Amino acid sequence: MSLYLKLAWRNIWRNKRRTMITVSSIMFAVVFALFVESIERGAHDLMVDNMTRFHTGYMQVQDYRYKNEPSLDNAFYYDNDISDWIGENGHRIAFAIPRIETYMLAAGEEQTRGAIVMGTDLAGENRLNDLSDRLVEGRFFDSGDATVVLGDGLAHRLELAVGDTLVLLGQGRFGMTASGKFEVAGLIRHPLRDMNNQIVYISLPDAQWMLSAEDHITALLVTPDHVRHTETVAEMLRSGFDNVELRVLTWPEMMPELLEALAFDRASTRVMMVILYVVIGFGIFGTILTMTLERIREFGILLSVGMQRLKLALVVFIETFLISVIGVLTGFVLGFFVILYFHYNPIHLGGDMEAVVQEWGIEPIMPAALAPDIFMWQGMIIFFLATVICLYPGIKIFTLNILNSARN
Amino acid sequence: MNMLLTISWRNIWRHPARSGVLLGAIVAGLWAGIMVSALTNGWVKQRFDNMILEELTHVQIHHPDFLAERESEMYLRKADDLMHFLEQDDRVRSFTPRTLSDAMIQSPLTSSGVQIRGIDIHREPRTTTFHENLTQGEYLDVGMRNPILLGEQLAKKLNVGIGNRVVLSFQDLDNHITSGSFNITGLFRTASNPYDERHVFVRSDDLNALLTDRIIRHEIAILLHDESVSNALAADLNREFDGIAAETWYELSPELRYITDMGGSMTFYIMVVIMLALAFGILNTMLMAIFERMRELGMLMAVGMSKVRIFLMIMLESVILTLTGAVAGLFIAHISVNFLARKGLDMTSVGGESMAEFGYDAVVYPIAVTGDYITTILLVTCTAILAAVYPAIKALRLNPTDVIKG
Repeated sequence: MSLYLKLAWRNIWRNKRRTMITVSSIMFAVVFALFVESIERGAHDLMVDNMTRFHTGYMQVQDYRYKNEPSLDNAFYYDNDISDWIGENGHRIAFAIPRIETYMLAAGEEQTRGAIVMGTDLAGENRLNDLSDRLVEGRFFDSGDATVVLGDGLAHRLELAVGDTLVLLGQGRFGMTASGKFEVAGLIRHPLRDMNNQIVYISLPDAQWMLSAEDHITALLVTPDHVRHTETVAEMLRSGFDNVELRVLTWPEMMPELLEALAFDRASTRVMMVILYVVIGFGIFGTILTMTLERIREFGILLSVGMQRLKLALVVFIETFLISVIGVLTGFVLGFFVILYFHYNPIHLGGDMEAVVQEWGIEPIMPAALAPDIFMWQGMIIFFLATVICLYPGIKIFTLNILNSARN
Repeated sequence: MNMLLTISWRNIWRHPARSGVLLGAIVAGLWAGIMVSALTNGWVKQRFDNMILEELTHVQIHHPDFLAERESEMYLRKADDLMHFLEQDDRVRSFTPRTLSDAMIQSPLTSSGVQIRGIDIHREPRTTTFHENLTQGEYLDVGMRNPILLGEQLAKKLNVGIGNRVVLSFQDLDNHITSGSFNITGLFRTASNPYDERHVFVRSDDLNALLTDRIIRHEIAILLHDESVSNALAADLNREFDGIAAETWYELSPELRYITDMGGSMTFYIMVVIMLALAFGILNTMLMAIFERMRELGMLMAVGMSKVRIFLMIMLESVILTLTGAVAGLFIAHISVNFLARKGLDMTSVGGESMAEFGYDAVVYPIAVTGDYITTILLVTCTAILAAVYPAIKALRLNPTDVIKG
């Protein structure tokens, strides 16, 4: 065996230029496949990131009844025990935001409208979606100072300005009447028109007091350190809250329409990848075929001096196998640098989209994702592809007409 | 020139296998390019079928402030003129007027905020596919008084079912609170739970009667024969009529726009990568072929063929190969697109099964238009010919004496 290996190794370096070209064709195949997959993954991670920031967060801890019956009666007790537990166990958790959310009537002097009242922790919201940057007028509330911040759409409908008084009226926990007078501290512009016309932000303690829900929240938004770790963190939380009546929902459960869009994109990218493999396959096949043709005379002579076809085929296969290994490995190295570059210098989405996306407060970019599993999968696929193609010289050796080829 | 052409032609057929593989690469490139654009077209259409046709439609007309303020009083003043205009316009496939109001819905158990969508029971099903979301019961065209459709999610929240009554309360046009009792005839489910929780459907006449004694319309949703004229139609409407705002789906749904554009950019970069892969494939094969032919090229130089002619000869070979490949690729691509357009490409094997859960069809039907064929042919031809330049230049650097001796 070692003799074949030695022969193959020498053959590889006998014609460096030929080897280089074959290696490079496999190397570039790996780089292209890695690039496409990483860009797709990066774009998806970013989409999920942006959508979750504006809507539901990556995951929420809720009372197990809240999803079907989103009422304050199904809020849950939240105190230092839970936040301490998260602080101790959640090394993959970046931060958590307690929210209490309900629907109330909001009134100004003359006008009354329905409003989504969101009692929350401002510091947490800022980490999640830079809420403070959306302020268009006034200032943000301090915890428990009986002031509110509302969407400028809602303020316009209620004919309220900064400094005016907003009255909130509705139902608190277990049928208690909930009402409160709050000074309007500031106005924000929410990027979603629907929200902008309905949202009232208030500090968590104020909301809990008004709604007779002291120490209760409707949802705890948990943000993992990376979108990929969503399921791991959710599992961890589930096991932690096993015997309590709490439920952990992840963004796919809360935003099925986003999942749908992603599934669609992913399936379509896979089809594109298959098409890419066809093109790549032809590229690699071209170099392997040319290499084989170039060496027909050599094969013919070897066979005519008594080399067995099987042994020759084995040597050539080891050669091409080694070339594939080198190609894939160098492809990893080059691909790593290419992806690293596009990770830190993401592609900018040009034109129309740039403006739209910026209006949302989203960076208009497509970064490449750095994920080890992409390397593993694409490396394996291209390696498999190259190995199958490398069977060609062997087949050629078995069907070679010795007389013709040696004379050629 | 004529002689060069003959030599090139003969060179190609002297090595059928090598030429064959180059031809194969070009055919594959062209096929890939056309498949990518045809599939993208198919997907875009499918996405529209699912997201646009369901309710959004291509263009919607409102009172300029309606979407921001949602006041019942902001109805379309010239709805009849608008509808007349739309009936005359042959870009319009169909349209449907809607009467809208924000309301409080009450069941014996609890209450909730909803948007009432008063729809025209004859025009709506001809324009949108919303009625296909009905999971239980019947559509609004029943003989009953004040029928209403609820999302399954909302029905669960209110603890009501088919045959039960709910009360809708809202402000009428004179700013008085008015209420109406409605009978649940059907339940629906869309892909979005929040949507199901916040929208109810009634007959526009029923809602209209509670709002005022005139006929008022808040929204006209327009479906077009061809999505690409959305902007043109919206612009025409805005120019023709005062006091309205016609907006395309692109402006109406920033989320859909974000998702669609992101998908579009992805396809563009995949196309770029495929073309690069094609270029490298050709470049490598050509380069190898040149090294293999060094002796032959050296000999040609030694007997007095000028470098320019050698360069031209190699380029001519590439051009002939590329054009042949383009014709063959076009043929194959055309056949496979047509085949798939009839049979459909099943994406279940590549992760499409998760799409089926949302009621998406996991089978995609590619659509190729002439423009795509032309773009792809130009792109592939340019890529192939450019990829041949470097090997040809490489050939010029040969030293005749070295290669003949070697």
